Amino acid sequence: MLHAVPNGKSLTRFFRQFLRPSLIARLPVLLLILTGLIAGGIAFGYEVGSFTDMGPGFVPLMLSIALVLLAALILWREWPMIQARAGGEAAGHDFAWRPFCAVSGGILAWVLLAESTGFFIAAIAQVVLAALALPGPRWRSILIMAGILAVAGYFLFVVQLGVPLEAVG
Amino acid sequence: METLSLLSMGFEQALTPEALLFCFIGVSLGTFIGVLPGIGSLTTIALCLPLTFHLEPLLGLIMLAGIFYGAQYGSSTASILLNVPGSAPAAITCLDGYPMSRQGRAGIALFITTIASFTGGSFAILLLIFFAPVLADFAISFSAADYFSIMVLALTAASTLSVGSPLKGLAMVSLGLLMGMVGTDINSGQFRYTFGIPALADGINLVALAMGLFGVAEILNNLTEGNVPQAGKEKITFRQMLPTPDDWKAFRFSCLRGSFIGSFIGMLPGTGPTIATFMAYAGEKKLSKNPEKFGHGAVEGISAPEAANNASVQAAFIPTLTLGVPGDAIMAVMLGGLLIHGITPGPQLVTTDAALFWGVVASFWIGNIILLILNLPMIGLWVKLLSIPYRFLFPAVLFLICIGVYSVNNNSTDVLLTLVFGIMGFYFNRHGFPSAPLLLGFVLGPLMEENFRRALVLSDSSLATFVDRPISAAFLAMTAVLLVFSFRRKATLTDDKAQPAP
Repeated sequence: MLHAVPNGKSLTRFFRQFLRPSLIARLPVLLLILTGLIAGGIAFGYEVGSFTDMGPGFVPLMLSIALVLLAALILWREWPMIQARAGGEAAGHDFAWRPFCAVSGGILAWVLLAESTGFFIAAIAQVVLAALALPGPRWRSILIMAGILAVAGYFLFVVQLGVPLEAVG
Repeated sequence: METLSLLSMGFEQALTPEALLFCFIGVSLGTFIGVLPGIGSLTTIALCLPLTFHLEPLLGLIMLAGIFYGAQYGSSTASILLNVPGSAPAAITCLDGYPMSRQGRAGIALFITTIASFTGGSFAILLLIFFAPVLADFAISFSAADYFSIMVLALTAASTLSVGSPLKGLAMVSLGLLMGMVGTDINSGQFRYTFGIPALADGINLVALAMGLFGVAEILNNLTEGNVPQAGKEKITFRQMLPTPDDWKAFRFSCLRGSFIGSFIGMLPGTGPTIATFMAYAGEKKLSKNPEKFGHGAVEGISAPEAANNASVQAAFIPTLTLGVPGDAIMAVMLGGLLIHGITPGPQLVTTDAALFWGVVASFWIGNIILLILNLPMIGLWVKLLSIPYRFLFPAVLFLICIGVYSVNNNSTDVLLTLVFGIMGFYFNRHGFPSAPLLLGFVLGPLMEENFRRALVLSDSSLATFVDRPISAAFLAMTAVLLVFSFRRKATLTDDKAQPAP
C-alpha cells in the first residue's frame, strides 16, 4: 500500500530506495517483485495472444503478474514490522561467510575443474574446499576423506555408470 | 477378488531377486539417511534419480519409494536419542521421545516408534490396495479442466497448510510455476527464459533444482547457523526395547488413530507427512484424560505421530499414482522421475501399467517387513551411525550432489545451477519462504499450463468451463475454502522469522 511509503517521494526515488542490494538481502519480496517484473517483461517479448488464441507468452505473463501481486501483498502486510526494525539491524553483520564461501567454492571448483583437469583433481578440490567450512586443523583427515570419496566415486560413477569424465584430464 | 489376483501378480513382480535387492537397497538407504540428521530424504531421492535411469521403471520406483518410507522409520531415532529430528516430520517425536530417552526408556521409545511406523504403513497400504483402483476408475472421467482445478487445489494446500505464512507459500508456488515455464513451449516450439543457455532448452533440470533447494540449502543453513548436528554415543540393546503392559495399553489405540489421521491427510493432494504428524499429536493431546503428561515422555505422543507419519507417506502414493497429482515436494520429485521414465501417472496407470502399479504396491509391504527387521534386531547398528561427525558427512554429501547432478546430462552447467538454486533456497528459507511449494509448482507448472490451454480449447475459450463442470467446480470451491480458512487462521502475517519450512 503506497500510503505506507515515506511521503513525498517520487516513484523513481521509491524504486531507487527500495532496490538497494543491502535491502534486497534482507527483503526477499523485493527480489520476487523484480523477478516478476523482468519475467513479465520478457513474456511480452514472446507472443502473448489472447484467451481464444494463447501464445507462448500468455501463461508466463499471468504467472509473473501473480508473483508481483503476491509479493507486493507480503510487502504491504510486513511493512509496519520492516519500518519498526529499520536502523536497528546491521545487514549481513554477523553472517557466517566462512562456511558459505567454502561450500560455494567447493562446488565452483568442481564446475571449473571436472572437464578440464579430470575427475580426481576436481573431486579432491571440491571435498577439501567444502571441508574448510568448519574451523580446526585436521588436514590429514580431510585429505584421507577426499581420497576415499574420489576413488569410490570414480568407480561408481565413471567406471560403473559410464559418466564420461577422464580420471586425470 | 480381482484386486487380490492383481495383488498376487504384484507380489510376483516384487518378489523377483532383482526387485527384492532394490527394495532392500532403497529401505536401507532410507533408514541410513533418516537416522542421520541433516540429510533429507528428498536430497537422497533426487540423488538416486539419475541412477534409476539405468534401471527398469519398476525397479527404480521400488528403490526411490523405499528411500522415502524407509527414511520415516529412521528419522525418529535421532529425535529420541539426540532431540534432533532426522527429518521434518519427526520433529514432533522429539517432544515425548527425548524425555523418554532421558528417563532411560530410549529402547522402548525406539521399539514403539518402529511398531507404530509398521502399523501406520500397513494401514495405508491396505487403503491404497482397495481405494486407489476405485479412485482411478472415478478419475478416468476427469477432463482437462478438472485436472487443472485439482492441481490448483494441490498447490494451494501445499502452500497454505505448511508451517509459516500462507502468502509466502503462495508466492513461492508462483515462482515455481514460472520456473516450470523455462524451456521449449510444447505448443509453439518457442524457447522461453532460456537466455541462450543450451542446458536450459529442455527446461531446468529437476535434479539440479531439487538438490540445490534441499541438499545445498540445507547444508548452507546448518553450517552458517552453527546448528551442526552433534554426534551421539548411545548404545541400545534389544533387551532394553521391550515395553511394559502400560506402554502397550497407551500404544494400541493411539497408534490406530494416528494411522487413520495419517492415511486421510496423506491422500489429500498438497499435504505432506509433517502436517499429518502435527495433527495426530494435537488429536492425542486433546483426547487424553491427562494431557499434562504430554511433553514428559507420553507413549501416545510418539506412537500416534509415527503411525501418522508412515501412513501419510504410503497414502501419498494414492493421488500421485492414480491422479498424477503429487501431495508434497518428495512425491513431486518421484512424479518427475516417472515422467522421465516415460510413464505418465494417472488413472490409466492402474490398468495399462498394472504390473508396475501392483508391483510397487506389493513392494511396499515387503519393504515395510524388511524395515521391521532392520529396525528392531539391528537397531544398535543404526544408533552407531549417529556417532559419525557432521564434518565428515556434509563434504561427502556435497561431493555426491556434484557428481550426481553432473551425471544426469553430463553437463557442468547443471552443477553451477545447483549452486545457484542452493543459494536461492538458503536465502529464501532464512526469510521464512519455504522451498517445498516452489518445487511442487515447478513440477506441476508445465502440466497445469497444458491442461489450462486444453480446457480452454475444448470449451471455445470460455473460462466458465472451470466452474461449469461439477468436479472442477468442487475442487475450486475447496481451494476457496482453504484460502479463507488459512488467512483467517493466520491473520497476522508478521512472522518474518517464521520457522523455515521443510
